[in-house]
Amino acid sequence: MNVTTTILEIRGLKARIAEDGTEILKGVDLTVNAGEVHAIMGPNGSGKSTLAHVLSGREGYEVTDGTVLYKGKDLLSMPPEERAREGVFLSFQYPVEIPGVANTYFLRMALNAVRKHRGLPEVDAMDFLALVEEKAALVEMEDALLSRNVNEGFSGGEKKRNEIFQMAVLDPTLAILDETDSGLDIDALRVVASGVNSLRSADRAMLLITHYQRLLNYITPDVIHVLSDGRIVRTGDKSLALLLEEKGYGWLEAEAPVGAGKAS
Amino acid sequence: MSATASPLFVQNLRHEGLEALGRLGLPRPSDEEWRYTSVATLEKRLPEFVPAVARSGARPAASEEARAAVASLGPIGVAGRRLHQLVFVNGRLDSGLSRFDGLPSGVRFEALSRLFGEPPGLLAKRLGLLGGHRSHPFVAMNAAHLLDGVFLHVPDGVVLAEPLLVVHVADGSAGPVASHPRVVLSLGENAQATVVEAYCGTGEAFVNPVTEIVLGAHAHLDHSTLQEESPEAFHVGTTEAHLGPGAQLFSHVLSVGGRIARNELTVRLHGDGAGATLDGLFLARGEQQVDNHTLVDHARPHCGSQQYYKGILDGSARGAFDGKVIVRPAGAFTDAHQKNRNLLLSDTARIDAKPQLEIYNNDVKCTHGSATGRLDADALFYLRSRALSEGQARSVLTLAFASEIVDRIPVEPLRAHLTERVLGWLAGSPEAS
Ligand SMILES: Nc1ncnc2c1ncn2[C@@H]1O[C@H](COP(=O)(O)OP(=O)(O)OP(=O)(O)O)[C@@H](O)[C@H]1O
Ligand SMILES: [Mg+2]
Repeated sequence: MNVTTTILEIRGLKARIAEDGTEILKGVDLTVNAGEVHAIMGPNGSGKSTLAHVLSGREGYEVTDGTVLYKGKDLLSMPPEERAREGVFLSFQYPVEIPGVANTYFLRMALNAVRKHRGLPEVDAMDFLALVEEKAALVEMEDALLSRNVNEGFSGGEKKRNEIFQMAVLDPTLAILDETDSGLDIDALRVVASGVNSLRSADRAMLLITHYQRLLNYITPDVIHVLSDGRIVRTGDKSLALLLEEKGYGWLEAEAPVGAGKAS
Repeated sequence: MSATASPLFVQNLRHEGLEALGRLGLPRPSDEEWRYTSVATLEKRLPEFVPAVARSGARPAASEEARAAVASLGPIGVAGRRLHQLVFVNGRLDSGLSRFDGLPSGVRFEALSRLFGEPPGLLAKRLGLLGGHRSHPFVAMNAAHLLDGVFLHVPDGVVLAEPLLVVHVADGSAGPVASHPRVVLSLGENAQATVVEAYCGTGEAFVNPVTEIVLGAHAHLDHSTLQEESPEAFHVGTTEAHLGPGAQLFSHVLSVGGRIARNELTVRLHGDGAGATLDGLFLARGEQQVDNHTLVDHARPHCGSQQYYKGILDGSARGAFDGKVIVRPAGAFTDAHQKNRNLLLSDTARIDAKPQLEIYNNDVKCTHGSATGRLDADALFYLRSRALSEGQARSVLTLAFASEIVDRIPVEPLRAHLTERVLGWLAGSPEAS
């Protein structure tokens, strides 16, 4: 018998920008089970990155309503590092450059923080090196990038590879990939996608934020959602992506009152 | 050795210093050059600080605490005895901790007190050569109290591969103590050396060192000053360097200790094509004040200078960077750059930055700039989203900020020591816990 484990359960999530009070998420409902890959699509400015940020605990947002359960625990009450240690990983739409901090130095700290949280001993230098080599090969990341400062002077594609590389090393339970495909050439896209695919597993869940049906040719999602103006206005299978590719988002907005108009 | 047994040139220097100090008095708070140093606090406290010789009469033995302070320099050399080193406790040579044998012939690396017993030689020409004791109150005070210190001379063409270490321990464990060490570094033509001056200690102390540097044509000196005395110490350090044609000075001023610390560095580019790189890193927290002054004097054509000072301030600390570049009429084709970056880790820390250019020649390339900021919120979040605690994230970013200066120190053990220092400093910092 199959027991479904729910990894992420978002109920009626509303969030606004702390600084000026602008409401961005206007009631998001989303359930992601272990083993599933969900894609989130939607127009620019609809709140996709905001959702990713709120889930990973970035400052600057205020949750005004709703709940988020991660493996049954209240995710929103955890500081960002605790979420990460519990297995939440955000691949940034715009990875941050950190001058003066070497990639592997930082990653080893990160891995040890996660391991400590899981009651595991610190990884020794040899094992870490072996792990780094294995995971770097997965995304075909060059050795030179490993020892360079975090994302400093990396090309757009190299930054995205670095995100997936870090994800592979940290072995998350819930991976949120915010436009990891944007700015990648065809070859890089294939490499990153195969990296992601190799991390697909029965006990891991993934949230793929993307604008392009193209990515979904490489990574087949179980479910596709359309986020528009802070709400999920449509949910379907992978054929929805093809429909969006063909018709854009306009037709959804025309229909929006049906899905989004319910009283909150 | 008593003062009367000193050679005439030393007695003269003391007299000149005493006379100048009487004439100049201490700087006034209204003095532009001193507005960031709490001279009033210093002046009030000065009478409490007495030279250690006056207290004990003889050479004081270093206390347990002082030995611990020396030992904490660990990797730099003292404990491991890997470097040639002269160690001074409250301004007097501790020959038991010192080691100065085995240097190439012709190289002099000696305690001044030992040289005072010899017939006057090159030291008589070098000591006080730069003249600060006639015009600068604290240099005058240093001259008036001159007892001991270091003389280094590297003859023409001699290249010293190993760094030399000078340690000044201020041991205030038996009550407030004053010391006025003097360091004279002289490099002949094409000579090369690396010198580290470390100031450490315990308890209340007033340390007033003067370093005089004279570089012959095409000489190279890499000079680090590590200032990490106790949080109760007052440190007023003055360094002046005179560079001949084509000479190169790389200076690293690294300041982590003291209640009030002032590091003054004057570099005179008096030979064609001379060049100086001045790096600085200062850390202060609590009520500490750290004040950095530089003056680079471009007096000849084709000289270059690069200054890069970085400050990290926490708590209610105050820091200052007051840097000046003068290009004299003869300073054609000067290439002078000055950069100051500061990181504030608290809302109550404060920095005063005053970069100044005074240019009297049109054929020059000069830039200067200063910027002060906080830890980058995006970078902090990025690191935390990868499981680092807030404290770890802050440490990593702060260390990265410091590393630009630390990484340019050529003496590996000093680099390692300073990295440890910064990490320890961060761990003790309430914001980084
Ligand atoms: N910190 C902020 N301050 C002000 N406005 C913000 C902030 N963060 C997000 N917004 C606004 O919230 C809205 C949603 O932004 P978000 O980045 O979530 O959109 P998105 O769906 O990810 O868009 P894109 O497809 O372009 O990446 C935008 O109008 C954006 O300008
Ligand atoms: Mg976005």
